[in-house]
Amino acid sequence: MGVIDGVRAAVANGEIDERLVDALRSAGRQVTATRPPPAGASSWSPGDIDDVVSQTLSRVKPATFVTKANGASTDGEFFNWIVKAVRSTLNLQAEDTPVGRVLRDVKNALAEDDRFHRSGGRWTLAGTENIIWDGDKSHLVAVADTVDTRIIRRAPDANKIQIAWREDTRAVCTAVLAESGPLDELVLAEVVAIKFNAMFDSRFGYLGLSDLDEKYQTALGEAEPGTADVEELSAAASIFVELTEDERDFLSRYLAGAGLRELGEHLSSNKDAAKTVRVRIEDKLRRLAARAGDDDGAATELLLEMIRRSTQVSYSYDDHGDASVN
Amino acid sequence: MTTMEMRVSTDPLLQQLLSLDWPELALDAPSPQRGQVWRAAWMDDSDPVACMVIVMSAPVQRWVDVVPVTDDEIGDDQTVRIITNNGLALSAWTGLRRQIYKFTLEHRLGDLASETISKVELVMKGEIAGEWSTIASDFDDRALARADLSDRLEVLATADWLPSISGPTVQERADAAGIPASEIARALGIAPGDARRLRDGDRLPTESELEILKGLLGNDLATNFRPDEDLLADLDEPEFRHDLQELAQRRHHGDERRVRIYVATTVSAAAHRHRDAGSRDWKTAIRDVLAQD
Repeated sequence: MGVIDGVRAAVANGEIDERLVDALRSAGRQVTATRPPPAGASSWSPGDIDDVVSQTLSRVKPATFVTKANGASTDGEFFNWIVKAVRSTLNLQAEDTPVGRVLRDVKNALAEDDRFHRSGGRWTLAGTENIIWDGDKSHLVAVADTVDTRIIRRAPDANKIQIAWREDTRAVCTAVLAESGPLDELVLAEVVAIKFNAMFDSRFGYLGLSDLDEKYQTALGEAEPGTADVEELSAAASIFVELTEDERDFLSRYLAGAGLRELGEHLSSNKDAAKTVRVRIEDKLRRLAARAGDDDGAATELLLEMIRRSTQVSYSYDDHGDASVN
Repeated sequence: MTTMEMRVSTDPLLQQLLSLDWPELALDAPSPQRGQVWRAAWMDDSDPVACMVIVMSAPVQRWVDVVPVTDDEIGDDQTVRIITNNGLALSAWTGLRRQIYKFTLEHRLGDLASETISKVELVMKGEIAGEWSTIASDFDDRALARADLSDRLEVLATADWLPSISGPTVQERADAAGIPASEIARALGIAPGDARRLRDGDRLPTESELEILKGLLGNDLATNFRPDEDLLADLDEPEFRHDLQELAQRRHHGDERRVRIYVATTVSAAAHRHRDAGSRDWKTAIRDVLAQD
C-alpha cells in the first residue's frame, strides 16, 4: 500500500480517521517484512501487524503524531516517521532498544566504581542518599548534557554496541545522581541514552543488522573468522548500521543511476544538510576502506548492495511528494 | 450508517485511534502575533518544504521574525524546551532565528504563555543557557537536525512568489528601441492605457502577450511587474491563504504562485481604473477578487 495520500494534511489538521490507520498498517507491513514472525507462526498475520500498530498507538503520544504531521513537508516524510515509530515498537519488544543496551552498559560501567551502589532497581551515588528526585527527567537530561564527553563510533556488531567510554558514562552518572539522589535504573539509562545519542536511533533512521537482507544476515552468521571475505562483509555491515536515513538516501540515489555529476551537484549544493551528509559519508567510506583493507572498492560495492537489498526504503519527495504544500 | 461509521464499528484499531486524547489545535490564520506557533510551508522549486515556527514579533510588511521548532528532544546550546497552551511539547532552536516571508505561514497551531516566550527571548539573547550541549562536530547526529532546519528556513526566507527581475524589462527595451506604448497597444490589441501599465510594470503580460512582446522586443525579456508594496503586504497575510489555495486548485492547477500573481495583477488593474483620491483598501479589493472566482 505504501504512502497514504493526504494523511499528513489530515493529521496536521486534526482529522483523525482511517487514513492514519491505513498508514500505520502499511508501515507495519513494511517493517515486519524483514523480521521473524511471532513465535509459532510461519508469517506475520494481519492480526499480528495490528498488534504492533496497537502497541505503537499506546506508546507514542497523540500530540507527537500531530506535531510530526505539522512539521513534515509531504505525505512521504510523515510516513517515514510512522515507519520509524513502528520499527521502534518492534525493537522494544525484541529488547534490542537503545535503552536496553544502555542499561547493560551503565551496569558494567558503574559496577567498577565503589562510589555507586545498586539496590532494589535503583542506583545511588555515595553521599547523595538523602536527596529526593522531583520527577523532572528533562532537568536530568540538561545536567547530563553539561558533562563533556567524547563522541564514539558505533561498534561493528550492533548487538554489542558501545554507547560511550565507561569513564564518560561514569562521569555522566555522577552528575545526574548527584542532582537526583537515588534513581530508578531505567530512568538513569534513559537519561544516559539521550546524552549519548542512543535514543537517536529512531530519530535519524539508523538500522540494525536485523534490517539487512536475509542473505547477508545468514552470511554473517556462517562466515569463517579471519578470511578476507568475512573482513569485507563485517566491515560493510558495520558501516551499514552507522548510516542514517539521509545517508542511505544519498547512496541510494547513486545506485539509482544518479550519476557522478548529479551527485556532485547534490553534494556541492549550498544546502547545509547536503554539506553535512557529504562530510559524514566521506568519513564512513574512508573508515570502511580502512577496516576492509579495501584497495579495489569491493567493500564499498558490497555496502551499496546491502543498501539496495535492504527493504527499509525511505520514500523520497519525488516518489510520493504532494502536488502542493497542502 | 455511513462508510466511516461502518468502519469505526468494525475496526478495533480505528476505535483505538479515535479514543485517544488528541490535542486541540487552533488551525486558524489570524494576523501573526508574538508568541504564536505556526506551521509554515512553501515550495522549493517543485518540492514542498515545511517547518513549525514561533512568531517572535508582529510582521513588518512582507516579513515575519521567527524561531523554528521541532518536536524532538534534540537541541543545541541555544535550544530550549517549551510547551504551548494546548500541550504541544516543542524544542525552540533560537540560534536559527530568521525572518521569513509572511505568506509562507499556513495555520496557527497554538500559543505560548508570555513567560515562555520571554524565556525563549532570554535564551536567544544568551542571557540564559540552552538546554543541550554545543554541537561541535558534523559527526554529532544533532548536526543533521540543525542543518535540515536551516535549509527549510532558507526556502521560507527566499522563495518569493513574485517573479524575479533578471534581464531587460519591457520598459527598458521599449525605451531603448523608441517603441511607444501605442505601438505596444496595437501589437497586443489592447487599450493604450493598458499598454502603458504593462510597459511600466503595473501589470504582468499574459503568456500570449509575452510571446508577442518577445517577438517585438527580444527573447530575453524579463517581467517587471511590481505591485504596490502595501498590496503585497496585505495579499501576503495568512488570512487569505486558504482561499488562495482553493482558487489555485480550481483554476490554476494548484499553483499558488500563479494564483497570487493573478490576484495581484487583477487588483492592481482595478485600482488603476478607479482613480479615487485617498488610500486604497487592498484587503477589500482582494476579497472582492476572491469572491468573484
